[in-house]
Amino acid sequence: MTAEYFPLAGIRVLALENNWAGPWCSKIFGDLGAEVIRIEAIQRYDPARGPIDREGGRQYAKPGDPSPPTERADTFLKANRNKLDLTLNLKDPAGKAVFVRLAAVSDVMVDNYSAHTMDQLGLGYPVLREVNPGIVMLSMPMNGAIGRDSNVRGYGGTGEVLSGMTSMTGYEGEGSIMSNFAIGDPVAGVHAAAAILLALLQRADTGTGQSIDLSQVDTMAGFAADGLMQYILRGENPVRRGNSDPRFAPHGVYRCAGEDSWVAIAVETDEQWRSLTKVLDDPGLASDGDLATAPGRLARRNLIDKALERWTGERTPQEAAEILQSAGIPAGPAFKNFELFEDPHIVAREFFEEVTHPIAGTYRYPGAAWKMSGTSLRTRLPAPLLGEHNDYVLRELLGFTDAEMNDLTEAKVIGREPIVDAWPR
Amino acid sequence: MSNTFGKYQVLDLTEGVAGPYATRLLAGYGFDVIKVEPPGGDWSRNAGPFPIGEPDPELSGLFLYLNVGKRSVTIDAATDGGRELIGKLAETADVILESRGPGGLAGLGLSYDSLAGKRPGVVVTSISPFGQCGPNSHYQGSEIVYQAMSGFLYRNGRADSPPLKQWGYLAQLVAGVNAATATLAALLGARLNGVGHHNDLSIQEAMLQFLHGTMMRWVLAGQVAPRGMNMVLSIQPLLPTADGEIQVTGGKVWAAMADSLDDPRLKDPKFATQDGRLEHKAELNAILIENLSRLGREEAFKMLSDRGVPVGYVRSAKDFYESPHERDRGYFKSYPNAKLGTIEIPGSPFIMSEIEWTSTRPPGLGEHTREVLSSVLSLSDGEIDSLAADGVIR
Repeated sequence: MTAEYFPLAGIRVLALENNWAGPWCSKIFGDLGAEVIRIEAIQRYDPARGPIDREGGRQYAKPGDPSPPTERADTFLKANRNKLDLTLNLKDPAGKAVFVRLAAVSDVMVDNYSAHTMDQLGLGYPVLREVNPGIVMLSMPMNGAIGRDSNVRGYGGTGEVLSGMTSMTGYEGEGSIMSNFAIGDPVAGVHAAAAILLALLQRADTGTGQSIDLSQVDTMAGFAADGLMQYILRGENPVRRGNSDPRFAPHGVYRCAGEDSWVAIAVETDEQWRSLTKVLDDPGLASDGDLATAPGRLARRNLIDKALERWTGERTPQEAAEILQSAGIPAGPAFKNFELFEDPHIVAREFFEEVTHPIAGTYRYPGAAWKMSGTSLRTRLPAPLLGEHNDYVLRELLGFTDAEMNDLTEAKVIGREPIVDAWPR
Repeated sequence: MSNTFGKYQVLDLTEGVAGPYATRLLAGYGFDVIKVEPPGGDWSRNAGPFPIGEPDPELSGLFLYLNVGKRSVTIDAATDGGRELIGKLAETADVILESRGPGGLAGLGLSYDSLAGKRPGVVVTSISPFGQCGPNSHYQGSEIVYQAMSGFLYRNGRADSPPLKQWGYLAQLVAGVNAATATLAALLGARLNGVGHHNDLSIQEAMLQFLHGTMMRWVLAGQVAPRGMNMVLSIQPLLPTADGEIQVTGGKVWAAMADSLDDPRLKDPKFATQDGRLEHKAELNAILIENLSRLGREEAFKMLSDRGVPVGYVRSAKDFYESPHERDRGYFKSYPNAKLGTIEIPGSPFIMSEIEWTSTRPPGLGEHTREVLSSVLSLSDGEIDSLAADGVIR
């Protein structure tokens, strides 16, 4: 059996990152074998680690354990596997000097600070390029750095609302609804990884790096682009249509037996409709010529939906979906979270993995977003402790001596314990 | 500004949304993307939106957006001759993407192993609804089904209402950007080390990445994550103004917000801590809404944003299109269009200092069949005519 092969082995990424968007980008590099060095500061650590002295927010590994909550916060643990961690106070000249030396031996620098922060720190692309012409640098401020509104800052749903996506989503005839996930974050993070890879590919030919300005808002706008094209082509804003579809019927979410249980069904072809009428065992529907084509079904979708819900109402989502899928009809249960762990397909694909963290303990975690031949994309390193790899990075990579390490520690340029709470009460 | 990607030949056997979004990012930055369409064309040509009037498969908004920069070749893969042509194109490709479903490559008479045997370092990315293997890999996909079977749909919408599908093609687009990333990573690895990969992109699995926190809530706390906005926030996320909604994230920025709205009631000590704001949530929101009702949403957005408050506002497609900031970024690009004169299409969400987004318009159906077969496969006019006569190409 051949050894595991990592396509990005030998690439070093410096990641100045907080929360979800930035970490989601660098995690891809770590999963694929790059050496990812997260950089945070004891004065300003990743807010995803939560408050210093209490469990703030919803989810912690080993709740109530006396070990530091900043090492057990799930928001941090899930996004930072396969990475190393260095603390560095970038506001201190000594910290800046270390950073520049690191940049000289790194391939990529990615940050998700607000716009122009790296320039304001004196560590922007023009500076880093001087010490390393091959460096690829990406920033991902909410609204991008180029443009008159670059000072816009945001978290969570900000990208979604500014992109147009929120205005297009809602129940039929009702107002805009934000999604219940910060969908903008992973969308921006994965786009950032793609952009960096493009730059590294170019560098393989030219030897030079480049800077990349990613707008989180624009990544989400690209996901609402069919709606943007509606305005461009028709001068109309998209109309919110809930779970219905302008081209297909039946199409929606149907109540099933059980508490708050639902199945999604999408009949996209006339052949699927014919199959459905057989499944429903409804000769009336089957013989109704008006319903044989999509426009006819769209005109009478309420009737069809009622008939369908009489049928789904007698079955669980899994039962309904299995029967419909056996008949070649797109259908799937609206899984609740625990059902994902029980789904035989997701489990058979080995999507979940057990991860052991030295402080947080051992838990089952979701795995990577895709599979690659030759490499497992598994967690090789649990999420790092604060400053866990200070010694490795500074002594081994940069050759710092004991005395130099002591100086940095005393000046609080580096450290292992947070001294300013990211979440003051 | 130029890129060096024109030398990478990408055989794009994908259709619809996920694969074409991946190859959009490649074609957009100069990869030579040869898009093989079935005789009826990629289904996105029928999806719209269309300009007002009769739907025209050359004017489908979804198709135009997804397929800038690509060349189109129409091959009927249901014929032996068609599969033979595709096989020959695959032999010269550096990258192959397909979305024909589990076993799709085999159905074309291809396999990753044999392709890699002939061309070490070839990258193949297979996109499918539920992956190349697994008990449900044969399941039929659809956007609402991906949103459902990833756990996303159950949680989306309001607690007092049925689950709500997110607009558009979120699952397929997220699969697409992940497919692009997997493809580029594999190509970089091949470039540096000579070894490629076969990527297995399950749209369901790609969609699961939104659900990590939701899943861990079960693992760590044994809780079913419910539908409805997470109300540990003290300020409701969408706040109405005179003419639309703004979006704020509460917490640390509270002080700046209280300051910019200049209402003494907001300086009440009971609102000074996060715990206090949570306890008096209803009263706080009422005061905020009262203040904001005197402002337009763009005005409120600018006022708060200028003070460093993380804030957004609910923009429509029209608002976004008319945004001067997006014009500053050059987000919309103009392309020639035979029927409309010119058409604007969104470009790239990121700006690279050394590489420019493509100025090549989306292709007409089969527009480049002859050109590709003669230049890439060195077929003669006579051979091409014969294939057309046999219905192998259109």
